[in-house]
Amino acid sequence: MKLLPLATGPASEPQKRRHQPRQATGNRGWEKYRQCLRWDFGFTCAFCLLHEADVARAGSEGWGTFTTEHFLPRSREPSRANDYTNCYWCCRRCNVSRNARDVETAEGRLLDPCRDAWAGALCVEAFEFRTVLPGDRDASRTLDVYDLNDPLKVRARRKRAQAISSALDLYRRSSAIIGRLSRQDKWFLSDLGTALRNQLEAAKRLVAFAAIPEDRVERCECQDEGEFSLPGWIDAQCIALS
Amino acid sequence: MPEPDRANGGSPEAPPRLPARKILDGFRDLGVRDDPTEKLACEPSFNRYTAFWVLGETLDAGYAALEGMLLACPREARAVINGIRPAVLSYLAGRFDPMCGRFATDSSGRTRGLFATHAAIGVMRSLEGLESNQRLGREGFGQYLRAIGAEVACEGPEGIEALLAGCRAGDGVVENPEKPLIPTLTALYTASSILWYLGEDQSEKLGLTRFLEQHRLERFLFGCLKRHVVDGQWVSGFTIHPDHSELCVNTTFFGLRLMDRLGVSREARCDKEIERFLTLSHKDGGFSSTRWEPRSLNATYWGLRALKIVAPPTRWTDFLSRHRRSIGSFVASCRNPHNAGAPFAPDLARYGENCLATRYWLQIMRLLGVDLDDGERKRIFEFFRQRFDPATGGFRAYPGERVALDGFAAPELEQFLDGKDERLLAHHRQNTEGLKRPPFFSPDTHTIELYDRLVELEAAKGRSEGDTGAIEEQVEQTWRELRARQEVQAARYESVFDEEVLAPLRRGLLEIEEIEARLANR
Repeated sequence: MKLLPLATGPASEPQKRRHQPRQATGNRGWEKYRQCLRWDFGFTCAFCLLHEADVARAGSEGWGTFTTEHFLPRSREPSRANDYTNCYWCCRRCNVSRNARDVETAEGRLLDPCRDAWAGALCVEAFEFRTVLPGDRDASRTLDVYDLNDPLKVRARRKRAQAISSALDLYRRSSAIIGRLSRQDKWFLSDLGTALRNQLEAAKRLVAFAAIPEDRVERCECQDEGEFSLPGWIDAQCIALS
Repeated sequence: MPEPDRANGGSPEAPPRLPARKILDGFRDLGVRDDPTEKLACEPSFNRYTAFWVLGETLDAGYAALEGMLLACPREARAVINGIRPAVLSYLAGRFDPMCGRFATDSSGRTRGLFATHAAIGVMRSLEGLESNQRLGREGFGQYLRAIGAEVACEGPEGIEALLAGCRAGDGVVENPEKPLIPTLTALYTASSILWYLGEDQSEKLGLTRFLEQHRLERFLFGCLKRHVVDGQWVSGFTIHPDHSELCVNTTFFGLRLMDRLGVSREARCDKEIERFLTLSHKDGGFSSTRWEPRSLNATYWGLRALKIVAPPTRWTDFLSRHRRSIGSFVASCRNPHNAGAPFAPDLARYGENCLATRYWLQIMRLLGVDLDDGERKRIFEFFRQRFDPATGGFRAYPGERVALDGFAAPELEQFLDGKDERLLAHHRQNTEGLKRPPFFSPDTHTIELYDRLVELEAAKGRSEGDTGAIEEQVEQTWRELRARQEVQAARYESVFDEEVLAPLRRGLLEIEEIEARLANR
């Protein structure tokens, strides 16, 4: 099982789309892309890099917390509303904070996760986004427009790191105790019971931070068999748990 | 648990803690049934599955409480509703499942269906302050969906039709297509009510006829109208499904209302025989929904309304004048003897007063034309207002603590279940383990408004030439306000996360350290 990294860092290359869903038509046709987008962006907001597990313990589907973001706003480019390459998997807070602001203004251009390498412009330090180069107007504008350092987002990043590191620590230490006690001639049943209970508790907490959430759907709108795995840049950061 | 938000209309006093034990005792007395489709006596929403969320907040309770507040004290209700609107909208957002376009009545998400969607529309209507004969309209519904960030095609005509078509199963309509339940007349009536609430320009009859024709449901509807001989006389009424034979007062009202909406004539639906059935179901001021059930407030309300439809006006007024005293005495006997305030239990056998029962009482009073005194109105209003839970933005069905939804936090529930029903316990564990976190992550309406203001200011700055100092200042001010708002939400998120996730891990680590120390000394 792959666990989420303590803090997800931005991709060092533009993100690649692996899904090619059938062209949707009609009013709100883009809703059909939902499952493709989830897998393509690794269940992670393309902008603030929060994972669905940071938002809901047993999957965020059904809560309206993750949405489809149109990089070129629907109000400006209605013809591209159902264009898959214009759709991004995005948390509701990022979507709401951007509203329908233009991609390019006098203050700078919004960074596109599928065209720009975000790691070259933005980095995550102490759970907050910072611009890599001082005076990078595009990066600053992206940071402001998507409100990447909204206190709730910062806290969600910090809490994930705390929870995963504590749960991993508890899991490893209780496993070591279980191994040690089982090698002894005299069993200490109450200690063994406590260690087993804690190992189970830690495992339950860790499962909640699985990189592929429980409510995934391995069915999508792609003509061929869809790619149901994590994107490489997220997979490389994940913690493998045996 | 955060402090109640007084500014948002939350209750300044802590909710009364007593009834949890009594509610559970009530369940035990009545017996908790094995079959999820089998109903407990007289309250269709209670069975062994729903027994777990009665202490939590539900959409049905929200609908009943908001409507009840408006019925009791309209002016005060509007003020309270305006205060709590953002929290209620955020709650509605958490109850909406964009994948299937339906609302879920509680946080388990297992009860997504027509009833919950109907209740959600009811909540929206109450937020708008609409009377029972006023429609929300599709545009209004669409606006609410957008306000809660529901990204699904529900605002268009095809959206609602698709939602209703999704509930079409077998020969009728089911409440929730994901549940293997039989189609019911109640679900069909709920679908028709949704159509009515959202209808605008088209006439009620046209919309319903189209829906029935499109899904070939007339056979189902007319199949539910049955005739029996009771005491040597023909009686007619509606059953819940064409294959069922037992006539039911509640479904008789639903069937009558549907036929009324379709414009079916009195002769064709045998009004005289239906009137006879309703009269037989009435005893000592109350109605029993079916022959074997005790009298209840909801059956009494539906029975009276059904009678009003079928009986000629003179006979209806005659019935009311003859039975006014006994009806009043029956509904008064449903008042909870342990609570000096307003609340009502659904019937005499039940201890737990709840929002739905109290709203039925209010509606019966209205039907009887009884004018409540100011003190009574205030008490009822307070009862409903105190059901509001500022922590979730929802309304609790019962005045107990919000415990059942948080796993085994409820010692009362655990004690009740412990060793008494292993299967029930296992089912509860299974249900609670899969529960999701409340939607702390969704921005509330006020936060969204602040973001909108920032966008407007940015646009204004772009348009203006020369000195933009004043606009810059406003931008700064809006950012400060936004950050303060976000900080409150973040603190709430953090405290719940610490309590639910980090605290058990910390406790575990302490225990493990103690064992490690012991092992080192051995």
